[in-house]
Amino acid sequence: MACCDKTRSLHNGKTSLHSHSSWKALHRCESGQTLTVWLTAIMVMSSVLMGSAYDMSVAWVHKQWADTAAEAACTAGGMDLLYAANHSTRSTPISAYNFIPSSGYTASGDCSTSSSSSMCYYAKLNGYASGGLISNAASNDVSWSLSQSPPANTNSSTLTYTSNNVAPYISVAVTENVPVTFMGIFAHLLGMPNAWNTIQVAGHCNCGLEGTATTGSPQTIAINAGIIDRFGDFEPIAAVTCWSNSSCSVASSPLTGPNNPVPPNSVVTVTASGTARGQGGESISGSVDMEVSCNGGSTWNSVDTVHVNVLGSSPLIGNATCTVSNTNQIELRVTANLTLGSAGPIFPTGNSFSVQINGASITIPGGSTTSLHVTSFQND
Amino acid sequence: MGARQEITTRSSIRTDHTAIAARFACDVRGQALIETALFSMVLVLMLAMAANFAYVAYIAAGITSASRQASVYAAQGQQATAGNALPAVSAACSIAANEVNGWIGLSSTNWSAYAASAAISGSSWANSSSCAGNSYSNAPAFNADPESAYFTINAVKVSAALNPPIAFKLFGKLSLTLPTTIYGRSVYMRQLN
Repeated sequence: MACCDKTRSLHNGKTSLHSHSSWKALHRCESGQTLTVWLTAIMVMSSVLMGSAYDMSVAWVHKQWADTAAEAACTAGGMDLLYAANHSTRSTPISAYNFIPSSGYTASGDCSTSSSSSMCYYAKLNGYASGGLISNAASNDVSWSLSQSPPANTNSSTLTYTSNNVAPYISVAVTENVPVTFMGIFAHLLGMPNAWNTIQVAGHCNCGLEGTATTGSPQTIAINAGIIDRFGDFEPIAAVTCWSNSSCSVASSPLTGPNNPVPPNSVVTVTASGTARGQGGESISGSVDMEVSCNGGSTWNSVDTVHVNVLGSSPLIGNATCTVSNTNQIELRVTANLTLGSAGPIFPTGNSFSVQINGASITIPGGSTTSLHVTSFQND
Repeated sequence: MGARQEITTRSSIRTDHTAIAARFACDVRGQALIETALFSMVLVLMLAMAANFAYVAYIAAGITSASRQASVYAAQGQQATAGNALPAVSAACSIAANEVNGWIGLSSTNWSAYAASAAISGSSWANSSSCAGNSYSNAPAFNADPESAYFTINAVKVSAALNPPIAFKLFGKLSLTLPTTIYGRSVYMRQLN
């Protein structure tokens, strides 16, 4: 109003106003400045706030991309672990892409320094080439690690390693510096890393193998049962004839493993059967020990101790449990402590008895087997 | 006298012009209205741009999610009736369609999804399926798995034509906001055969 009052007074007084003076008056005019400054301030603040909203929207979309790349990379690595578990190997199918350690359960890597793994390949396919993080510049990095432990607070199985000792869990982290304009100011003030020109977003994925345990049926395999030789006589697995009332023993030759190889370190039950008799039909009394070795005779396990006190032939049967090693060679041994009785009605005194094992079999218990599949446990 | 009067007349005319100019320049009546109107136009335009971009970001996140969910299903999903059999490409395509239809809310003519998978040791997509028909539908670029003799690769591409919800046109022709934008995202995932 002061400006306008002055203007009016100039006109009303009919004062001869020199042009220079009038322009000076114009410059002295300050009305409306407050409004202009106020609107300009609103404009600047609006621009900053909307620019920040734009930046955050961009960052959020990049976060979704990073999450997706992390899950794709994690799944790819999980598929390699599943292949290794299913094929009893500690390597990926093609060794050039191997990331599974030859021993132990932990390993880690960064795709900016070594990009040969499938995780790095799939992260790259999904937009993250992992050139390494550069401060204050658009850049990204992909890293991974293997673990025996599932992510916390997940309802995962208690699988801590697979049957061939491969770590079942893998974690992938995708980190990206996203270029921003306005948000960088706030982010820097908030202490976020590299935040003048970029803000950092990250996608994580934990995935791995999960198993479903199933109980299989026991498998029984006959091993070298007695045969009928070319003369038509029955040939037992092992036989011994003793010519006096004393102890005697004999071990079979190492029996080759069954046609179907027994899995190493599996616990099997060996069942053997045979007969003990007096050669002349005498009654016998005493005991017969049948023993088994699952590893070529170095350690004998008692199959059973059979006490015989019957006339004539006596059935022997027993079983024992032992652990089969890689040799898959099973031996049987019989030790007899027998006493001959009186001669039978058919034969005169024979002074001898025989013990023979006619057949044996092993039973592989139907233990639990695990069917594995790849699962994403956590993705954020 | 005549000359002097002429000078006086000229001077008064010049004085009148200057006074008029000074009057208009210094008269603040309506100034606030004009300034507010001018600033408001810019502000409203900025707000419209912000709203449009928020919509684009919303759709972009949704499309990324759709292609990701479909790819995960293709890589890990199992057909319930066939035990361990992996889902067909068309099933992955349907997953993407469900995501887009159910969450983003785009009209069916404005988006497309394309699922593809490669065979073992394949050098191109062996199976592909498009589950929405429009001109934006095209297959994702083929990339072989690095261990393609043992694994296959699945890809799902979801594309959409984004029309900004708020459109301003100067004189009915010059668009002052975002033009129609086609946004697409491909996601690749591995599958063990």
